[in-house]
Amino acid sequence: MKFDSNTVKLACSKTDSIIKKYGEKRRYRKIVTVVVVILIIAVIYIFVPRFFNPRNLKNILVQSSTLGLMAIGMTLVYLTGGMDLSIPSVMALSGIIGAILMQSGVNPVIAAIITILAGGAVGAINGLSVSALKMIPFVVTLAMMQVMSGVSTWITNSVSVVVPLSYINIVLFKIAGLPLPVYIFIVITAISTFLCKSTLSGRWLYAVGINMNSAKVCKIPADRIVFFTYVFSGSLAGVTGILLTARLGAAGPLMGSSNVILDVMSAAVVGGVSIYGGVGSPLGAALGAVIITVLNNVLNLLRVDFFPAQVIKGVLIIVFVALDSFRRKK
Amino acid sequence: MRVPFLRMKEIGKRFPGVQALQDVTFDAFQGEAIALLGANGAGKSTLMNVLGGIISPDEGVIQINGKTINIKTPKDASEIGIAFVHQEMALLPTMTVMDNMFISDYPVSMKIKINRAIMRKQCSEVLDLLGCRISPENYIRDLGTGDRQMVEIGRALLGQNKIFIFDEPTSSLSKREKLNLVRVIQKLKDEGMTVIYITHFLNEVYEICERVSVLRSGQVVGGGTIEEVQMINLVRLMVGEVKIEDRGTERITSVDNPIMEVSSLTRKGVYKDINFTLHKGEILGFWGLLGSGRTEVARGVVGLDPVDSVKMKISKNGELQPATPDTVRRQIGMVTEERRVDGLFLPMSVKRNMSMANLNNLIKKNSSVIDKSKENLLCDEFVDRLNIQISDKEQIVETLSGGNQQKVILGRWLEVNPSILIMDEPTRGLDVSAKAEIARIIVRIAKEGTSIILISSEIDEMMSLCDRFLVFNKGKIIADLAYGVSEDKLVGLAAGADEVIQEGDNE
Ligand SMILES: Nc1ncnc2c1ncn2[C@@H]1O[C@H](COP(=O)(O)OP(=O)(O)OP(=O)(O)O)[C@@H](O)[C@H]1O
Ligand SMILES: [Mg+2]
Repeated sequence: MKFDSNTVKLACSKTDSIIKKYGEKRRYRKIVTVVVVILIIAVIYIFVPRFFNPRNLKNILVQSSTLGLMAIGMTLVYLTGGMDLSIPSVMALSGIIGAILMQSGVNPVIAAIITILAGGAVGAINGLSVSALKMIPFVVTLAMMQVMSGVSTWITNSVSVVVPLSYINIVLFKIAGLPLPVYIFIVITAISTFLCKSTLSGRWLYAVGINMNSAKVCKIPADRIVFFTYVFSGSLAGVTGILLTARLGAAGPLMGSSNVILDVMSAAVVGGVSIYGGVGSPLGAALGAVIITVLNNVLNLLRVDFFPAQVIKGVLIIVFVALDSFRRKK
Repeated sequence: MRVPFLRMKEIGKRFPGVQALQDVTFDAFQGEAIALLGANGAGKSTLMNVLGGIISPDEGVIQINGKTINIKTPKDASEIGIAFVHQEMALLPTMTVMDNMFISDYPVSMKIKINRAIMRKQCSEVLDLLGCRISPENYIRDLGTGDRQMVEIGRALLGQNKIFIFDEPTSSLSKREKLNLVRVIQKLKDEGMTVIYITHFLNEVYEICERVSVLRSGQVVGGGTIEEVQMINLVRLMVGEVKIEDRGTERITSVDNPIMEVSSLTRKGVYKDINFTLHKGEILGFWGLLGSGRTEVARGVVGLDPVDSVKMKISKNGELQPATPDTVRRQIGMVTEERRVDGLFLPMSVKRNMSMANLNNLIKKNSSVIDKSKENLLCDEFVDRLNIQISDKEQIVETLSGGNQQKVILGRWLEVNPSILIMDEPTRGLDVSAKAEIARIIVRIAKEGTSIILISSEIDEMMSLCDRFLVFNKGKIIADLAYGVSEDKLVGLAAGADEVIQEGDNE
């Protein structure tokens, strides 16, 4: 028999070296990502030097923050295996509600709070339909999207609702040269990433997305978790509504037009969030939002027409989804 | 020396963190069954996955009749005539039995139309051969684990195969089905087929196989004809010394300390009017054939399946208080029958799988932040105690061997240490020494006051562990027997009544 303590020791030392190699492989992958990013920056530098204009960069950060907040909301929903198509339309409607309130003389701060609550309330309806009534997320939120954009158009007659300057000044208040939305974006990214990675609810979120049956056996309050993610995405849509309204100076139904949802989904997917549930993080989605915004920006600077730009973005998403399912198979 | 029909020569396979196979040479002849034995994680399934074209080896070749062949995909394997019954079942729940059996090779007429008549005919022939009473038109989702296993086996029997691989086919079969399988394997051997049989039940080896080959840590450590190796040697080769704990005759008989009362539990068409009481520190056995309702009742009690009516009481601060299945679940641990369906989180790490039911106790004071060092510590402790073979706590559970996956589930609940623990086939897929260790742990935690409902198809396990038996038959409890009842009586009660039903069933 070839089985003595020496072979065991040999096997152990071998195992150690293999583990180290494996770790290196992971690091290697990270290096690849960094190299790719540097390459992209180089390409942009050569072809679109205007991109690096400080005002343009600042602009990208501000635009990323609104897209990013919505993508983070979407991410939490994705993690549990759901989806929320209503995010942009909820964003638009809550912005409109806030704007109308302010026009009728309500204090901007109170109006902002109501805006967030409105988004959260719609999220709660989505959440209840999915978690308690066991309806299919796609159908529920698609219908909700229709309802929201319908209501938005209806109550505004397709006319934007202008908001007071005082409100804009509060929301776009600058600290160290950057407006408030950027900080809100960073803070919410940090908090939600921490929530997902290090807390009880975060762990549960991933568990529910990976295997609902096992989650039930493990006493995880799955329905509550699912409900919460929709309320969260609705509320973040509300927050985004506040920021975007301030940036545009007015709220209107077009804010939530249907191509916004495409950007939100792409941001999440490009950021490594799996649409099958259980994989990804808010930080990834936030980075994804920056990438999508950069892409939009570059296409814009290159004066690519709207429709070809759509094609390019669409192809990009397909590539990322394919990569995602490939990674899952491995 | 005879040239072997099948030779796997000097096979090597390395996974990240582990050398799963090293220089393994494995021969099989026609008209014989060879047992492939080894502890959990020894490399048995990996070796067969190489033969089945599911993974490609780093080194080594496969020869048939001395000629080297190339098996790159499962399709290559099946063209060569290799049929594989996997350890982990992979059936499509929303399709019928016959669809599942023919899924990779539908019989078609006129090049286009699936010929369901032929399917039905061939499928029922195979089911008859296996002595399986299900219909080809049944949906998989409506079948119990045992029947599903039979469908998997049936699939292998279709078509023109020469080599049959059975990877732990009996881990979810009851006695009657096992006998049928033994008969079928005998028939295959008589027809000159080659059978490779993986199991942790040594008695099956003596019943079925002519030769054995033993793996340990990815290397062949022994083998030979069944006459050459003796049972005791086999065990020593596989796992070293095993200390089998005999609980003796010491049992709990006191019935004054009820911890859970279930009455008039009913689910239409599945079980009816179930009443029982569980006492503190008691090991209560649910005994019965597959499909007798033992698993279904356990699942109903903890609200995993819906029930039509139930009255429950559960002990809170020493007093029995009314409860519902959903509230009961929060106080009960449950090792489910099918670890991959409602046990594990397959793409998650070992660590996260282990702590998943215990997170409430792992959070830092006054917050909901998980205390990672505490989590690591507990994980290490149970990996060590259950001797779980992993390369690292972060290893993805899906890549563990079957038995080690089962140990992760057991570790999860031992970590929680609930006052009531339901264990449905807790030792499924475990090797001899792990089984003994689990038995020891069950006895110990019961002594410490945990009440256990134990469901197992293995009569020995039940006889040596349980304080009391509830005998299930066709969705009813037909007897409530204390320890001391004979094995024959238990078997008779479950099976005898089964015969009656069989006669009644002849429509
Ligand atoms: N895809 C994989 N990635 C990493 N390790 C793997 C993978 N597949 C198998 N292993 C490892 O290879 C070893 C052998 O596993 P294998 O499944 O062959 O064991 P086994 O003998 O079938 O055990 P059991 O009796 O528990 O089924 C184990 O240590 C397992 O963790
Ligand atoms: Mg195995």
